[in-house]
Amino acid sequence: MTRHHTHTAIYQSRLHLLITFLFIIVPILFLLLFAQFTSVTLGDLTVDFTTSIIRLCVAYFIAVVLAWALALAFSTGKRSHIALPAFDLMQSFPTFALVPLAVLTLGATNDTIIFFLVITIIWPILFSTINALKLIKKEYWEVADVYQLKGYKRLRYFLFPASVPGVVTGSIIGLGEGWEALVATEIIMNTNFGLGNFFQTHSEQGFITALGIMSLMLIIFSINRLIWTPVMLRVYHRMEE
Amino acid sequence: MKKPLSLIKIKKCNLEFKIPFRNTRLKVLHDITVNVYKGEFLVFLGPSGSGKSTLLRIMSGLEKDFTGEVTYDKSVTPNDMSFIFQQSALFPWLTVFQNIALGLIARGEDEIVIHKKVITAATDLGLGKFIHSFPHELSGGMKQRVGIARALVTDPKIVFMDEPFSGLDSCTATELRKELLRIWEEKNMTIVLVTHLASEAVELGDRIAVVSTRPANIEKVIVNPLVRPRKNRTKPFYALEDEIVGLVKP
Repeated sequence: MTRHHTHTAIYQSRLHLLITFLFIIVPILFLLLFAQFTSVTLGDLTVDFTTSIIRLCVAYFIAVVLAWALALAFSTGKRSHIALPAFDLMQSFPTFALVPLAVLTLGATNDTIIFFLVITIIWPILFSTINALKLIKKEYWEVADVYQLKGYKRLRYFLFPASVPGVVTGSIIGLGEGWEALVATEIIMNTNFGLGNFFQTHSEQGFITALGIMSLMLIIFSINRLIWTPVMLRVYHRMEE
Repeated sequence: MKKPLSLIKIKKCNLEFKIPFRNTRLKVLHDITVNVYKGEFLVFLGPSGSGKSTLLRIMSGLEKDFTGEVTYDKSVTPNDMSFIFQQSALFPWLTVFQNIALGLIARGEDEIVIHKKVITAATDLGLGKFIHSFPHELSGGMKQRVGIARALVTDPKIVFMDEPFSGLDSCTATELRKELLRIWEEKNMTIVLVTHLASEAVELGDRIAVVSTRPANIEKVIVNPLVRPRKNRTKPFYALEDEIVGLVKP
């Protein structure tokens, strides 16, 4: 059907555009200076960071798809009575307790790291999405029933849009935990590339480690301001009645 | 005289709600028996919380946990019924166009047909300029117009209305009631409306079923003798309103 888009001005002023630009430039400048004043090359820094962020992105994509599917399948009805306590039990399990066993059986591969990232990131997204679905007003369910929205159309026009705020909130929390799990898993698995490798290599050089943590915080902060804050504002604005 | 066709027959309908976290049950409906005739404007009038909205939900198929019988004429399918909610209940993530189109999209209508029907319905209800707006950009009256357009665009045989004007200011409500009557007469459909306002019931209804306090029962069904268009500042109008108010127990 015909889609009509409303165009929203993303940059409301020159100052806004400048600040956004700074969120991209400052982390890059910081990394350049970092490389300049330490023995670490910019190439090594870029490789470690890129490797880690690719792992995180892949894990996030898998986690979000799985969490969304599980939330849609188990958020309501009789199935939720069994599924929700089971999910709660699973999310309480100490993930890192499994790392040595996984390394022994699966090896210290990218897939193993991504697996551990997925089982860390998925829970906040799942529970937040379930919460969003449970909070859907009774009238909206009735509208979907009265107008016979079924199957794919029910998902597209009703359940997907209604659950988006939950997915976004859960993603912000999940990725926060994901960064932590990423570095920890890479250190435990003793990988050749990645931020975990970087921190492990320079574990005895306090200055480099401190600069590394600052760079990581700057990058995470920039990603949050550039991606998640506008997405969250837009999604919550769209949910206003 | 030819007997009118009953589109919906409700016989000895009872309903109890289980109150969560308490070991009690709340009886909402008690032995409701009533018919809905083809083409009529039937109004259920009763005090707030009496259970009339629940009755409407039973008739529309939204509430299934009841005892008794609700039978539909063979000419009526679920697709022939529409519902207008008290608070319009528009999906905030969809535009006015998409909200109105919802029923047509669900039926898998052709895009060109959907576009044509939605534009016609929106224009008919004065929504032409707001077709690309989101619900939060509209006033309460405009939102309710979208709710009405959404209900009517599928050309339903029966429209259920749950206190559709109760959240609106009196001027907007008066205007919308007039538009509703115009559309009802043009489309020759059946409307079942729930209200707690006697004046609204007298202005709109062919028959007015007065509902008792909870558990709801039908106290009396009054056939409205006033001819249309009804003038609501006349003696017969006030007399009927007074008679009905006398039957409604708070």
